[in-house]
Amino acid sequence: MKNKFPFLWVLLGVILINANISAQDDATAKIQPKIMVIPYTSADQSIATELDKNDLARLAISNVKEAFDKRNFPTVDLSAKLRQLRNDKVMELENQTSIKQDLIEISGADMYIETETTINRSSGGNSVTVILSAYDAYTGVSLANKSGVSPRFYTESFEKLVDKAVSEMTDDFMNTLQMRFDDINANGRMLAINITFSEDSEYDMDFEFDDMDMLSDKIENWLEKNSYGSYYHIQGVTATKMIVDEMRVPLKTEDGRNFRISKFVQSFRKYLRKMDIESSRDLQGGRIFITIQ
Amino acid sequence: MKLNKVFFIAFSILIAMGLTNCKSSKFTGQTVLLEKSEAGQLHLKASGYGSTKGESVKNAIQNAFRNVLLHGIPGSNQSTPLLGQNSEKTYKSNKKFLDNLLENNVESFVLEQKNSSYKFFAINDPSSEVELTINLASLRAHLEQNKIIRGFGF
Repeated sequence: MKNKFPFLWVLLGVILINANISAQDDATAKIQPKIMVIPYTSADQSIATELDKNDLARLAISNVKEAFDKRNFPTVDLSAKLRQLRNDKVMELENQTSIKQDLIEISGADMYIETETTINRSSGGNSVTVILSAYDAYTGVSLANKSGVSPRFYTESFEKLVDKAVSEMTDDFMNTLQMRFDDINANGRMLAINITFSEDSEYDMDFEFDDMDMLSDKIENWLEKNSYGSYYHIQGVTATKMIVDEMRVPLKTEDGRNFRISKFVQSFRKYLRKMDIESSRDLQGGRIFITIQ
Repeated sequence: MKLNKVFFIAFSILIAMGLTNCKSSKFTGQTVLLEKSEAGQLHLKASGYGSTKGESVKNAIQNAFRNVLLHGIPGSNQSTPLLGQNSEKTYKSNKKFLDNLLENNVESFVLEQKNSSYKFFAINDPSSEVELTINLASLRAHLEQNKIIRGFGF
């Protein structure tokens, strides 16, 4: 007996498939950013020394990490990463800014939060100022800032003042950070791209193709098509380099999978290969380095 | 015929009772920070409207929560809307849940409450002031568990 309603079966099948895809979308958890809390240090100060010697800095870091724990969000442990860095390269580096940068890179942190504590002494009592600053590790964009001053007391127990100041700040700081996360959720996360040339490369950014477009134009066209909402910002272009300091990419692909930066880079290299241009790449989280051969 | 008359009169009485008992809740932004508090709490002062003490106190508490959800309380631990940047849209999308929360469940998130004296001046003036401490951490967790807002992160 012929099935009188083949169309209905097809429709049911389509509905079931869509429901399954939708369930998969919901089931694919988004990859969360890695966040590390570090003490503020100036160019000539060592992070390791600051952490070892400054009790108030350690306390402030611990309080901020506790705020993340309360929101069920784990953070990267600074002390463990410092130990790893010591094992790897500390004797080779004299520049403390390089060590700080290396620490952030080795940690794999996508974002870091600097905590700065300052003691204020006066005849009217002592207080503590705490400043929290959150940054994107790859683009350096500031994500959230909050400062607070504890009440004044005639006390040398600055730990309690730090505790009070941080406790009154963290909720609002976390809310601001969450607003940035909501923005990233809606408008994409940020990447940074550096495109350079190998020494023996026959190309440069001014290389002109038959259609009179330069290589920099072709790259920019690709960035425009492949950035989320066509949002990208070129810091600068020279004959030997293009620096894209901010480019937005989605958190998820159109089919609901987590967006992979490695696949994004692969797609860019394939585009270059179509123009007979070979390239190599180096990935550091959200920072991409492309070297054109 | 007599029965119809009885039903008609009873029906009219019921309608009249319903109309006279209609309460229109007034929601305003009259919620301010009372004093800074530690993380996870809010110390607020809210004004309430109503022709009876019970009604105006309930309105004050509802006002406080509504302002926390939709507008945030400047200077407090929740200076931005708890429902996020698109708080109005989120409220509309979850109206049934949030209306029920405001009407029936908010008091479970009140840690402390102190009612000022009640004085009814006019229908457009607040008649009560309530100082309350809200368990912000618990309220946030409740909204996250019911998928009204997202958890911390992406």
